[in-house]
Amino acid sequence: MRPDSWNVPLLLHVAGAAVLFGAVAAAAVSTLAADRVAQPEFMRRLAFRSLLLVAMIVAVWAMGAKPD
Amino acid sequence: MSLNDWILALHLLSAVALIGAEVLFTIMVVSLWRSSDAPRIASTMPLARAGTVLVMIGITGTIVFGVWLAISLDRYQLWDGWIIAALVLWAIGGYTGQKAGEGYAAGGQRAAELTAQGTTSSPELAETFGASRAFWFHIATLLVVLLIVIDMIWKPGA
Repeated sequence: MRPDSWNVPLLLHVAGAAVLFGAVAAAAVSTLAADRVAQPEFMRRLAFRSLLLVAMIVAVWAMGAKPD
Repeated sequence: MSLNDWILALHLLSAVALIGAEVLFTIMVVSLWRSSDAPRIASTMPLARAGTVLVMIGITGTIVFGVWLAISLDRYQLWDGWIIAALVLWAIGGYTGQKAGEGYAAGGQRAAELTAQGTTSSPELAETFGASRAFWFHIATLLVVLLIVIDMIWKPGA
């Protein structure tokens, strides 16, 4: 059994990993679909912003949480 | 690695797929907030399809491998309070997620029809992709998913 003090860092770590996965998936699908949709520039911007704002900032910060 | 380790790994991967799908849908909701631009909304439909596939994997994998794990491990029982809470939350999240998906899918379908007709803008779309019923169901789904993750980590009463 892990100590209770690990719960919050573990929550942030798990949530961060899942957010990272979701943001990378959104960026990958947006980029791959960009050439086949009506607004390719919008999809490329969406991919870039997903990676920059969601993946880089939120997920990396959350995954850096450590137990005391 | 034992069989239980594999079941746990698949349970966690399914959970990552489920939460990842919710993140993907949230990115869509934010990027299309109050948008009346039909071609723009129609352009994001590949994202919605990818999110739906991830939800199906996540919602099936979490319940199948989660229940299997609860049966397989001696220290947990299916009737433990925190497991019953997770099952109830899973069902609620499934319902709210489905309602949100139906609302946004109807909006996406309408956007595709308008784009095909050559219409570029519609206030009806801005309503659907703003603070609509589908949006509040999406928010409810996010809260339920967060509660499930908290329940899984803290395991109250275990």
